[in-house]
Amino acid sequence: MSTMVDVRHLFVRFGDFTAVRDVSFTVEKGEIFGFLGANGAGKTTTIRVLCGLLLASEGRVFIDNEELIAGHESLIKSKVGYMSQHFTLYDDLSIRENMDFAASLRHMNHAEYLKNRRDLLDFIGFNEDLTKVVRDLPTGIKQEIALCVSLLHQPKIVFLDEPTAGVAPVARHRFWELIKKLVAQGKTIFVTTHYMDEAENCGRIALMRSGELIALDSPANLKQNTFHKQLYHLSPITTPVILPDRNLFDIWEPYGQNYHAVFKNDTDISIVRKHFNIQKISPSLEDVFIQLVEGQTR
Amino acid sequence: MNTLWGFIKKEIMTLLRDPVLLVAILIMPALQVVILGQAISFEARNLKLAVDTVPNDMMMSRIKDHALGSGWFIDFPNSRQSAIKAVQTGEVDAAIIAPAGGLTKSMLRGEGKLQILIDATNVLKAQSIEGYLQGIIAHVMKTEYQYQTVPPLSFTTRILFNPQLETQWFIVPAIMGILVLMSILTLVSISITKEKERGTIETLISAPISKRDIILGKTLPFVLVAFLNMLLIQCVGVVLFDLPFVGSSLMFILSFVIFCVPACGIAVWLSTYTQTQQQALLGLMIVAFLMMMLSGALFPTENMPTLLRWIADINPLTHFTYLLRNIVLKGADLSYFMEKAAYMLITGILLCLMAVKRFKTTL
Repeated sequence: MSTMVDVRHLFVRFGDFTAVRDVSFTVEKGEIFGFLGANGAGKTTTIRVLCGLLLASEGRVFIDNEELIAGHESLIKSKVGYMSQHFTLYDDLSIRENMDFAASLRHMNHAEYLKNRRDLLDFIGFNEDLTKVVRDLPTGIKQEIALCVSLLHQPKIVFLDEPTAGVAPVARHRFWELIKKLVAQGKTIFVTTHYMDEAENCGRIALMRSGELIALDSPANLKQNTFHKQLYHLSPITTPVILPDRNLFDIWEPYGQNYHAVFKNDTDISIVRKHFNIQKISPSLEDVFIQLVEGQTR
Repeated sequence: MNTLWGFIKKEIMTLLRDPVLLVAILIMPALQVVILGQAISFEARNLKLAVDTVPNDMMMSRIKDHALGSGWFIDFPNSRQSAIKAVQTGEVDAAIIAPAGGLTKSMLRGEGKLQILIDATNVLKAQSIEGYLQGIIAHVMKTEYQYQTVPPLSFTTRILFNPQLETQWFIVPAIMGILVLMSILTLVSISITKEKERGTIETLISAPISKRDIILGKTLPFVLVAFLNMLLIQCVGVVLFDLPFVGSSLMFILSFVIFCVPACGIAVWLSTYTQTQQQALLGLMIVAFLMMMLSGALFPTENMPTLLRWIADINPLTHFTYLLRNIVLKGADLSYFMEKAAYMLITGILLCLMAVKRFKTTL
C-alpha cells in the first residue's frame, strides 16, 4: 500500500480559537479511513482543509504525493471528490441538471461525462427519470445522487463528511455497501460519521477530541487497547433503580436504561449483584468512543 | 408567565442579537432621513445658463445678473455659436439668445425679441427653468422701465428634446437604469448568498475552478436578464408613451454593458458581507435606495449639498441615467458618451477590484 493522504502537524486557527491542533496522520490507498469525534472536535474543519476548501494555519498536507499549497489548490481539487454534510445538491434543479453542472465545474469532456454518469447511475442502481427535481427525492436517493456527483470526475479519493446524517437505517446500510464496492474498485474513502456501527466498517479510525487526535488504530485494536479489564453489562432488577457506590468502578457509563461498567476489583461484583443482572461483554466501538472522546471531557 | 410578554421578549432579544438587522432597522432609516432630507427637493438650483449677446447689451446684462443673483442659475461663458451647441450637447441646461445687435437696441427699435432654449431631457428642470426665466425677465422689465412704458418684448421658448414636456419621457429612461441596477443587485447578491446559506457554495469551491470563473458564472446570466428587462421597459415606453429613440442602438447597448461593470461589482462586494438571503436583501435595499435617490433619476442633483453632490457624481447610476436620457431623447454625441462611459468604467473597475479582493474561494 502507498500513501494517499499525508497530514503533518496540521493547525487550523480561527482568531484566538484553535479548531485543529497539531494533527498528523496518513491514509493509505484503497483504505476506508474513519474520522470520529464529538461535535466541534475538528472533523469537518480537517476534511475541509484536505479538500482545499479551507486554508491551514500551519502544517503540511499531501494528497496523492502532491502538496496542498495555498493559492494552488486546483490540482488537489481535481484529484479529490467531496460530499458534504448537506449533500450540496441544488434542490431546485433536476438530477440531470445537477450532474451537468457538476461536470461543467470539473471541465469534463462531454462524452466522458455521459459515460461516467451512466456507469455511476448503474453503480447505485438508479434507473428512474433524471428530470426529477432533487427537492422531490427521498433523502436516501439524494444521498446516493450526491455520491455520484462527487465521483463524476473519477477522483482517486472521496471525502465524505457525515454522509448518512439524517438517513433511514436501510438507506444507510445500502450506502455503506456502495462505499465497500468503491473500495473494491480501488478508491480511497475518508469518512466522518457519528454512527459507531458504520465506523466498524473502517479499516482504521482516527478519534478527535477538542481539535486533537487522541487515538488512531483499527477498530479491533482500539477496543483491545482501551479496555484492559473486563467490561460488564448491568441491567437493573429493582424499581426504582438503586445505584451502587461509584467508587467500586473504574468505568461507569449509562447505556440506555442499563449500564456498562468496569469494576476496580472483580470481587465487588457480588455487592452489586443484589440489584443488577450482570453479564460479561466485549467492548463495542461505542464504548471506546464514549470512554476516549466523551468520557475524558466530563 | 404571560405568553404575549414571552413573545415580545424573545423577538426583541433576537433583534438585538442580529447586528445586521439592527443596523438596517434602526440606524439606516435615521441615516436615510438625515441624508435624503437634505438631498430630496423638487426645486432645481445650480442650473447652467448660457447668455448669448453682444458686448454692452445693458438689458441682457441685467437679465443675466438677475438670473445669476437669484441663486437658481450658474454662469456658462460662451459665444453665439456655442450657446445653441451647449444646450444640444447638454453642457448647459438653458440659453438666452438676444437678437442680432443685442436686446437693448432691438427693444429701442420696438422689435424686442428674445429666444430661450431649454434642454428638456430632464422635465423637472425644464419646467423650473421656464418658470424662473419668465419671472426674471418680467421682473427686469418692470424694474428697468419703472416710470416708463415698457417697450414691446416678445420671447419664444424652445423646449428641446421633449417639446411637450412629457414626464414619461423623462421617467422611462430613469426607470430603465433603476431596473437594470435592481435586477443585477438583487439577482447576483441573492444568488451568491443563497449558495452560502444552503451550503452549495462548497460544491463550487471544492471544484478546481478560479475565483474569476465563479464571479463571472454568478454575474453574466443575470446581466442577460437585466438586458432583457431594459429592452422590455424601452418597448413599453415606445408603445404606451410614444417614447422616441433618437440615438444610436450601439451606444444604448454599450452604455448598458459598461454600467453592468459597477453594478456587478457592487452586487458581488455586497454578497461578501452577507451570510443569509435576508441580510443580502436588507443590504441591497439600503444600497439601491441611496443610489436611486442620489442619482438624479428621480430628483435633481444640482441643488443637493456639496457632499451629497460628490456622492451623486461618483454614483454610476447618475451617469447611466443621464446617458440613457441623452441617448433616447437627444441622440448623445460620442464625446458625451465617452465622458459618461469613462466615469462608469472607472468606478466599475474600482468596485470590481474591491469585490474580487474580498471574495473568497475558501470557507
